[in-house]
Amino acid sequence: MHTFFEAAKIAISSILAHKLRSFLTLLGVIIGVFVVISVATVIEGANVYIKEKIATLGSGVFRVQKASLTGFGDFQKFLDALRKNPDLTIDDLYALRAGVTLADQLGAQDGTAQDIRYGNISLESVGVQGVTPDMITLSNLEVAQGRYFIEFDNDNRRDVCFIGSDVAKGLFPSSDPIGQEIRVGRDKFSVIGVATELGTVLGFSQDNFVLLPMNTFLKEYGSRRSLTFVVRAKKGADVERVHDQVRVVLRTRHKLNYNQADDFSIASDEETEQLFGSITKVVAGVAFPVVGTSLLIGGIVIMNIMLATVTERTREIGIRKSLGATRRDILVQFLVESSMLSGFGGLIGMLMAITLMSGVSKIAPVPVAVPLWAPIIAISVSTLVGLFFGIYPANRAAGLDPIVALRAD
Amino acid sequence: MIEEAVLERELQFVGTVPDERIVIRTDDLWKTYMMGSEEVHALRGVSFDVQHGEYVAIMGPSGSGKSTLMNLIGCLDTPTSGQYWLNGKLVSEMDDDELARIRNKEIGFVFQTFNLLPRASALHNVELPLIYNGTPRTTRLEMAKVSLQKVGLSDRINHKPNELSGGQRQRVAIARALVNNPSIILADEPTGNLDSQTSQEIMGLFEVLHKQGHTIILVTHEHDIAAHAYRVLHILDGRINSDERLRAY
Repeated sequence: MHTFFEAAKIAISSILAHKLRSFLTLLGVIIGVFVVISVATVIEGANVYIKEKIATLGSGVFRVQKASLTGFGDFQKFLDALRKNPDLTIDDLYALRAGVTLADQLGAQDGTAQDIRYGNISLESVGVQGVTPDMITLSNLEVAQGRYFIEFDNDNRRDVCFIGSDVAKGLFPSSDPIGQEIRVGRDKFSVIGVATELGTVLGFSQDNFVLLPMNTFLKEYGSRRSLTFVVRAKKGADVERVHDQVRVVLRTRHKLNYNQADDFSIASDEETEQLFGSITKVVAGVAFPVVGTSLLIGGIVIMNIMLATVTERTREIGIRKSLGATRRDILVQFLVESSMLSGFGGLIGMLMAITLMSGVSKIAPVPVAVPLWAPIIAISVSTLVGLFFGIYPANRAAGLDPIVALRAD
Repeated sequence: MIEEAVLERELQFVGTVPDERIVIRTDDLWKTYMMGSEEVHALRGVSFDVQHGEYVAIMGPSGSGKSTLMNLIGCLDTPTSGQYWLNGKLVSEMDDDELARIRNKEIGFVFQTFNLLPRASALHNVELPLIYNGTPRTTRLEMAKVSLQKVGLSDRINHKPNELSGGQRQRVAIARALVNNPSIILADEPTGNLDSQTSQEIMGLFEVLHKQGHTIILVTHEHDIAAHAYRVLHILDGRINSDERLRAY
């Protein structure tokens, strides 16, 4: 233990005594760790983002759509499905509500874009969505002010709307929006509630929307459109069985034979996450060979420089041996030095990556999160590289004959 | 099998194990090197005893085997044949690690070129032998300071070797040699790199250490330096040529 501290002290002073050389020696390790941490930061950022912002439905919740990209994964198939599959109608919703007994809640939504106006302020291309009143519990929306829709609003096709915080701020910079009438497209709707802010996803605001009760929306923008259904399974119910119930209802309504494929798509957040997961796997698959190569080169450079260090310090080794240092003491000294050197490179690479990525996340809509394991992996992997490539030089130092070593210049 | 061999070895030497007054006993030490296919005998049967508290000079011209003998006495090397007891321990049969421990505990080296670590302070240089035997930090620092005080360098403990004069560097080396309270102080041409004035100071310091009871082995080729010792062993062609007692202790 004493010799370990002595070794650590020697290592630090020798790294500091040759700052430029140490830095150049460590370039390979620094680059390797830099790439690992940068990639890991972006991947983790994307994962956190998907969990927090995109996959917000929670477990046991899934969507039923005419076609979905996550369900097929192939863009051409998605376009074909979008063209061929029948629209999902409000009648389908009623049939599902009657037939899917394992569903806790079954809502529907659909959207379009409209210009909206209040007084002389207008906002262009705002997302206008029709929703069933139960959608409040099937989404991550929360009411900041006023209220959400109730069945009464929907059944009576009332001209009311619930707006996002961007719309509220845009149209009512200094007044209370509740009870005011805003123009959405051709008609006027009175504001009954404002949502709490959701923030942005990949740079796009999530608060620029106007919600209408589903039936109001269909009356206003026509019923020849395909809705998206959102289903929450009952607590404890097997989600697969809920999927099956949905299939039975829709296939019966669409009069499909047993040998025909579904003409609709069921997608859950898990599938969205899987899609992103497959993308990140590709990224990781490209990044890790690069990292491996640079760590290998970095390790060889470290071995080389440690061999030079051993030669340079032959006399020091002789002195230490004459004073009672064992082979083991000398071995430990040089192993500690190469591992610390390399670990130090890992630290630099990690700090550079974190600094750069947090800088990037400030100027570009790239999600960034440093995974907890990243610093641990960065330091331990680089330390292990130093340890491994330090074995040969350290062995050489330990094996020196003290008489010869003492006579070296 | 192994136990038998050990027993046999012990029986063989049972009569020659030195009593506790004898710090060094060599018995027919041979050291043979291979130069290509030719055998070179650096030592050809060297036998002598040194008692505790003696001050012995080993003299000889270069090539006499003097350095080889010094390496053997200093446990930096092992003999080809023959026995060497240091402080009652048969060191000629020890392996690398045991020899390292003996160098640490029993021998204090003083070299011609000082052999201090250039980037370390005087204190840290003196501390080194204690680090390698696991002495706790506070004890270590205390012992190193006491040792530096003995050589009159209490006011220089934080100086690096290049901030010290040649004489001061050698004093640091002597302090380092003393710090573990070794059985012998082994000085190899300790004044070889010093001017005559400083040489006298260093030799004066050895005299003081001798008076304090330390056993000193001085290896030199200079007569006036060897004259400080109480006994001189002359080495020639790998053998002891003469064993001369200069004065009584």
